[in-house]
Amino acid sequence: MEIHNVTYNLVCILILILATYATRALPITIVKGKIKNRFISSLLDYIPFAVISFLTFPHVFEIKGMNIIPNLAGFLAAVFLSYKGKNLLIVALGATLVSLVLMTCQDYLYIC
Amino acid sequence: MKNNLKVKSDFLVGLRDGLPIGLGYLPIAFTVGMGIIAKGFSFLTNALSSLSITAMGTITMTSLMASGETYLGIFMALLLLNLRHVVLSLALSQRLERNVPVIKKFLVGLGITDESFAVAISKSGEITANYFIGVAVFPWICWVVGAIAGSIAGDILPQKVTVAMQMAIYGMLLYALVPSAKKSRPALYTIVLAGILSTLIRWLRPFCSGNKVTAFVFSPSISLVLGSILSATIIALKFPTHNCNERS
Repeated sequence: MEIHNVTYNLVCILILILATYATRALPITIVKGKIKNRFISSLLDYIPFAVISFLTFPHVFEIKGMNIIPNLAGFLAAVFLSYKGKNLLIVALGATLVSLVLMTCQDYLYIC
Repeated sequence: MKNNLKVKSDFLVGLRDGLPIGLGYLPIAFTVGMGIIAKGFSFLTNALSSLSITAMGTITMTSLMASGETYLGIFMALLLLNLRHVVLSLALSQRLERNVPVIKKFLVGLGITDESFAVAISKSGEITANYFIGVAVFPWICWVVGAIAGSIAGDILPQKVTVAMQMAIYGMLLYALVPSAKKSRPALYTIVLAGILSTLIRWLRPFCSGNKVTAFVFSPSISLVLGSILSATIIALKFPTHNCNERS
């Protein structure tokens, strides 16, 4: 099941590959010297956090097919585990497992 | 002849140093692959996206695709997301051996990821191009293999599990945010500011679809680009970093 037509998907993937590799390969190939401007280098430091935050909020609370309880619990589990310095796999799977267990509990309660 | 031997051994040392990175990528790529399938994308979309070897890029692209964003919007959002790689690429250029042919430099650049950069930069002395290309090989192969395996698993698993797997994607995003927020105040402020802005924009979006200009500004990709630059600019003006390579 594909949510868009093939052309749209392929062009988007080409864009992904272009944007990813261009930003990695072009600076080292072309530019000589260092970024000296303090504001620009600060901006480069903070932009990734802003982008990732934009992707996370508020969508992390709007997961399709899951109601607010397992959704919120999964979120809190991810925050807790990453705050505790657990590795990426533990965080991702821990959050998933918490949501899954609560979803299953809810299904069971509704049936009873 | 001697020179040839050194070229070979640099590459082999690089291969060896890259193997643990590759093994670390397997589960991440697996989760991303699974998450993409959970969102309703096809096996082919996942397999081709995996060639980009980026979790954040792939996640960004698929979330914007899900709302049917324009090519330009997606391109701008991805460029912005990847700005960090510009910094890594520049930093690596400072440490790379001299007189590397342009084509080889380009190949080195293609191999840059957070982890390959970190491994190479921690070595003392000049980094040879062959070493870095060697480092990049296993991460690349493992990412593609992991992503494809993940999408196969995503297809087989029951629906409830794939719904819950969407949480794994957000787990990854939070993993990229929380430890930095804990370590650095400005990072925390950036995240909070951007999160509030994103939420506001998300709420206001339905009211902005009537007018062409506001509909454009409030579209997911353009609002992501403008909102991220705005929040990062405010924090960068308030808290300039002391060191260009602080993040690396």
